[in-house]
Amino acid sequence: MKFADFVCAESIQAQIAAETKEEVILELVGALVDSGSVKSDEKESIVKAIMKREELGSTGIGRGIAVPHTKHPSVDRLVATVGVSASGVEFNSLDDAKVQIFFLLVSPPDRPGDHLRALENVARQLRDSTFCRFLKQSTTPEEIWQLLDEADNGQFGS
Amino acid sequence: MMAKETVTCEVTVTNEQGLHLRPADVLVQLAQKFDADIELLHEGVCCDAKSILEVMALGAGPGAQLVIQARGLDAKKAVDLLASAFQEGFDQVFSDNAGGCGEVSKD
Repeated sequence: MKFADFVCAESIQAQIAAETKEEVILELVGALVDSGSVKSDEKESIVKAIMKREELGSTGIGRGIAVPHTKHPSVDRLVATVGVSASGVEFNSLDDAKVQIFFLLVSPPDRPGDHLRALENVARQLRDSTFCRFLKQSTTPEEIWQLLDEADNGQFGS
Repeated sequence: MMAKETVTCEVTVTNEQGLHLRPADVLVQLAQKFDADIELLHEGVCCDAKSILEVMALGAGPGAQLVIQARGLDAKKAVDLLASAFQEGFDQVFSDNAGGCGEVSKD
């Protein structure tokens, strides 16, 4: 699975303003709403579900990366957005570091395989420190989308 | 002498949704308790069991067959614990005296 298969280009947030976990999740789900990837009347429910998942253990997996996610019946295919915060957000990460790179995923409950493939792709690409560094330095959605496209085309390590 | 032993064990991903983030997190945290170098092999790919990005990047789905291999003084203990974690589907609290599946080979 490639980034282009599940990341909604119109929802990418290059300059996250949020400073807390809940704010950043609100901002990213809001971006998915604005891009038409999720319905606006489901926003609150999706944010709540993602926060509930965070209670089970932070999706901040270290190295400044987090993958907040949830299953939600309001989507019929996996949708995701990417956000970058220049200053970083406290996210109770495994390594206690602030998070600068967010991949937020919402997937249909009956498609766990797609969720796994998307996570696999995100993790595989983010292992590459150059890709991570370029993402953190991005200041426009276009730059981020181009990096994702380059990653899809195998230009970063693995 | 002991440190040169490589302990291996074949395991199957038993949890329904595969090695998604939560089980990968549990696995990595368990692996990090040990001094031994621990690797997971899946479909010809070998990864560091102490790196969550690497474990997630395996994308091991339900039923996937993996090999755990560890090298170091506590390798046998590590492999036994991780093997039982795979068996339990990463949902249980694990004890240190888990069953013994690890095969020791000297090299």
